[in-house]
Amino acid sequence: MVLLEDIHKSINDMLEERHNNNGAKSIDELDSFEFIQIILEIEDVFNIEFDEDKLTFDILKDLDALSLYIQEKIDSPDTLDVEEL
Amino acid sequence: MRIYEKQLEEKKSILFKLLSDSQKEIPFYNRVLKNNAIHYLRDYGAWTEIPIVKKETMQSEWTSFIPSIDILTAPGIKVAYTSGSTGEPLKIVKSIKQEIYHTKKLWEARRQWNKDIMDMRLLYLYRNVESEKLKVLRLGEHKDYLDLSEDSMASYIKEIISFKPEWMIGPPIAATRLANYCKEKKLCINSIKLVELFGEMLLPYQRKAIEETFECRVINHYGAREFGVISYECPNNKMHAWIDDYFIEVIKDGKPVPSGSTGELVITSLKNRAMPLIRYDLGDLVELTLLEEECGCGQHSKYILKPLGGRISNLVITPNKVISSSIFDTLFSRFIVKYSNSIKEFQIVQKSPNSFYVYIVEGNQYTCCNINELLEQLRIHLDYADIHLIKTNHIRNERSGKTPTFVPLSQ
Repeated sequence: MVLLEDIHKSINDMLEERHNNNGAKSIDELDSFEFIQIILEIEDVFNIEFDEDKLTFDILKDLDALSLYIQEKIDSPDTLDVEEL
Repeated sequence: MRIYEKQLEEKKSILFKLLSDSQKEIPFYNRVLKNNAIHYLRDYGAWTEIPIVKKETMQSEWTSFIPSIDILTAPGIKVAYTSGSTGEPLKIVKSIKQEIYHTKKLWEARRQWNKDIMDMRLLYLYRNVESEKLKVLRLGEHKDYLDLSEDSMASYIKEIISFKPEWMIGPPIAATRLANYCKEKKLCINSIKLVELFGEMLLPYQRKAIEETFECRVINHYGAREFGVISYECPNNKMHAWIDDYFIEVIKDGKPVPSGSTGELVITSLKNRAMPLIRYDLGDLVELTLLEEECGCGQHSKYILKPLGGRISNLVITPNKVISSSIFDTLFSRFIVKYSNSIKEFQIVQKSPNSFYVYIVEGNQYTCCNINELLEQLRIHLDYADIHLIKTNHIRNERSGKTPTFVPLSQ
């Protein structure tokens, strides 16, 4: 099981890297291309798929809630286990 | 027919919600859906009792397709316009969430071709770049058109070669012109791995010219402003319909056709709740096929939707430049958006390099518009050619049934 704090740290690192590379100071400065880039990166790393209703910029603003959502997604039976594949 | 019954079965609960919500909230559907939602979902025969919506109906009673006019200023809502290639542009209301969902899906489809595509250097032949954050080279100075004349091509090539694009996006007419120019001049741009084409019908000779010149793969992307992407080519050259987002029907002479047959595309959006489009006649000629087995590319959609007709652009050749005829759609759309219902139909016929006949069918608000504004814009874009305005009651269709907005010099 992936720990919540590991998910939190991983997303935090991802966002910081994007901010440094692109010079964006906050989530509000991301455009939809960058937003989608981050979402796809999260999906790749955790092998999950975001629900349509979660595809809003706000989801990146509360990392605790996002981490919890990702953990629930990882634990849900629909999620493919990479090792099983 | 199995291809439609299967879709109906797979989407029954979404369609139920779409129909019942639309009946409650959208005046048009409240009026035309005489029975409750469950009635139309009994089988495909019952579904076809829902009237097919023509673009003209939407244009004439546009406000009855939205819950209320307040939606236009509601948070999270975006208004877009169709290109106007078939006459007056149509206002389309969508949620921003829907737009993001769709764009994400498009990038997923692109990543099927190359996992790193979001970071690859892009040569962009359209005008409005999706994002400034893309590594992109946009050619030309003008905001409305890309000059495709030989002189301009020569100036672009230097830029292109030093940029080393890894992929390209553009309309088929511009990409083909670039390919042919490179071939004639024996120029080699071997950094391009992929070319994505959309906005116009991709003709076989265009695909061949682009693939051969750049030694790359071509991706056909079929969509419409009303909906977004409808089908997208996979690496196995199959145009997978985005079947999770639509109920797709193909109709010929008012009747549905079986899998693998040709007809007009009638489409229901399962995603747009701000402005539901149910059994909307897009008018494009298509072929829908249901595969027996899943495609090896890994996509689950077994529905293959091939566009067989649609907008074909021509080149407008003036003494100083060569541009795509889509410029007329841009200029007329902009004008009609500013002066609503001023022009119903239009067509431009080029008579000589310096002379154009502009045929228009007046809309009911024609007297409120300043037609000289439009004519001046046309003059500017056509190197101050002679523009002859001709008012008419009807613009004649071609034998195919389509009305081209531009008839080039050679015809």
